Amino acid sequence: MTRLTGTPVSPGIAIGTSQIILVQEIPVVKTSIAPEAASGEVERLRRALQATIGDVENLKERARSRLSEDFLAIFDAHVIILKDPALLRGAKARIERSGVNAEYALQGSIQDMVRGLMATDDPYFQERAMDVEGLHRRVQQHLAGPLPEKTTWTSGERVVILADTLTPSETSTLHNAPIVAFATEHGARTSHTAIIARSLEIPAVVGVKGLTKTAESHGTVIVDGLEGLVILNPSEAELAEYERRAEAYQRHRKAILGQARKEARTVDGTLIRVTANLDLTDEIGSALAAGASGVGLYRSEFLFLDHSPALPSEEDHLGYYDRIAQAFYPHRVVIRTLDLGGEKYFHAVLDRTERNPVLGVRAIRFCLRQPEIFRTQLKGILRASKRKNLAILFPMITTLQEYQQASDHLEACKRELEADGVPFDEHIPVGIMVEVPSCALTAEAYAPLVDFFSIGTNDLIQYLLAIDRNNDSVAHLYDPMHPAVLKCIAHVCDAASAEGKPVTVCGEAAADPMMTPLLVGLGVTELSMTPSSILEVKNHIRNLSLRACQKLVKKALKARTGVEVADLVKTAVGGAKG
Amino acid sequence: MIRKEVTVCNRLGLHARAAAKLVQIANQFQAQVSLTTNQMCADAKSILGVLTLAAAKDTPLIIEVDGPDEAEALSQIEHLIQDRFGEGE
Repeated sequence: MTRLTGTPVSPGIAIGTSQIILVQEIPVVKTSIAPEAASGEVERLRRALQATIGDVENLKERARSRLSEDFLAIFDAHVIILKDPALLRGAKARIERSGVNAEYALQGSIQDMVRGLMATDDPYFQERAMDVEGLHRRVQQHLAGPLPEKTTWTSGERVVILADTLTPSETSTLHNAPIVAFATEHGARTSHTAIIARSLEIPAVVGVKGLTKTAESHGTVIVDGLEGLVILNPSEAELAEYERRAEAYQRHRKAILGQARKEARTVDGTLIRVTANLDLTDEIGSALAAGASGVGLYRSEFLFLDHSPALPSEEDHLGYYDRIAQAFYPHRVVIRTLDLGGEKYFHAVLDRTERNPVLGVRAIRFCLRQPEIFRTQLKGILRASKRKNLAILFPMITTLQEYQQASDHLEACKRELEADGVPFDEHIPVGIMVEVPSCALTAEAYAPLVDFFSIGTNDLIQYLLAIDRNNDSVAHLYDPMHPAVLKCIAHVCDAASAEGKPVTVCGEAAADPMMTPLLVGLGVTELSMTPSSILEVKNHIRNLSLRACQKLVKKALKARTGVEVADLVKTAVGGAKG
Repeated sequence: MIRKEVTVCNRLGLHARAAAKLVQIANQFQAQVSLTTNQMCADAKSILGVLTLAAAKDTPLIIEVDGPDEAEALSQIEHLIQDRFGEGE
């Protein structure tokens, strides 16, 4: 029996038979072939490409009902890359002219493809070029021989996939496997494994140190996607215990799903609005099904990426915002103005040469330098606001002047629309996103001016603790419970409440059940999160008391470390339950 | 072999999604399909080729189709381009 821990990224508990998948660098060996063998080599390669296309198409079919159109389109892009005649033609030429084997010829042809895609001015396919390496590995596997894992499943089997990491190409080998859980040695909440697992609604744990060294195939394994636990070869007692827990979780899921429509009030009656973070309009359905009371954060940069390399027109903006405003009416939908730049998104309008883009021209800084782009968006939002359920959120405000300049642009857009006789919401609420420590610590300067605050904890923590979340060596220092983070949030809540203004939290911390009692106790009244977390968080809030949360916060603000805060939360929540 | 000249009329031109749609349709036919601008010629079944054309809005394109199902192929590709790749606007 071995217990390993990692990061839970998709909830649930599953017990099954382990199947290890390792991403192996398949060594590509150059061998010479006789001229008369060339046509056979070409045929072998053609079949391997065809088999890989079949894998990708199968995976797409399996994921079709669960994934959004945007995600499915990635599979289509993979298929057309694999079908590109240049790929086979290039390899064929190498086989025939240089007398090399299919494996070696393919490698050269793939390198040409990656270079070619990178050279186009198309960010979407440049991104796909990154996936080509994974597809290449898959074709090489097919060249190496028939793939054993595809035929080993028997009906009724429950397979737990254990891997060092899963890329789309590894996942594509699993299309017909009865998978009940994933666990990987590497990865994070946003990795491919996590997304696939959440879309399939099966448990997953990532970042499990030592997993691939310890585990063996065909053993019994328990994956607890709630606690972030992987148990290899469990004892009889553990098996019984986890079977009981798995059933209890299923019952719990059913019960909270039944309460999706009910609002989230603490036991002492305080209403906490639980809203959705949305990227594109195709998630509207899942947010509504989960019982979202509106949209706390619409990330409009995806609209820009969708139109890349061109820029969306005022009509494009209007179309998106109108659809989403209508879908959630009468609930409020907060549109965050363009937050392009930083580490996340690339668009042709950005300066590629910035040395440190996270501290560079991003978000509102970019918008104020490119007022035409900014005003086009603002007018699109205003034109979609006639139902009076839209609000505007300015991202990454660092100084009061930035807020004032942004407001001036908004005012000018309103007057233009007025002159043209276009209807809009004159009193559309305007908020600022608190992501920079300087803004949090001077919140009282903004409180009389803004209609609401929205705290983006992801960036706030990154800037406050000087942590690059994507850097593995420092990622462990990223801690939403750090007392400095709590103090910043507390300061914003105090300044806001002095002026009677509400505070939303829309970072990942909003969906973290450990953070919920702290945020509620600090005075946050709206939590906005990815749709898949809404049901759990609403249920969690219904078991909290505001008074107990406030007491907890008093103690937590005196804590010296994040670990001390976590201990206080555990004691408080445990105490409330018992 | 049949040919026809059309003009790219969607605002974004032959960009990512549009290019992918065009290649997907061309792939459904046995016929060879080529696209020619005044600068270069590309195989419509090659995503790399179509992206390399970098045909922006208002670019004239000559579609050449050669094969048993050429008429239907030409008709569908022409319709896709003139329908602005379903992008609306």
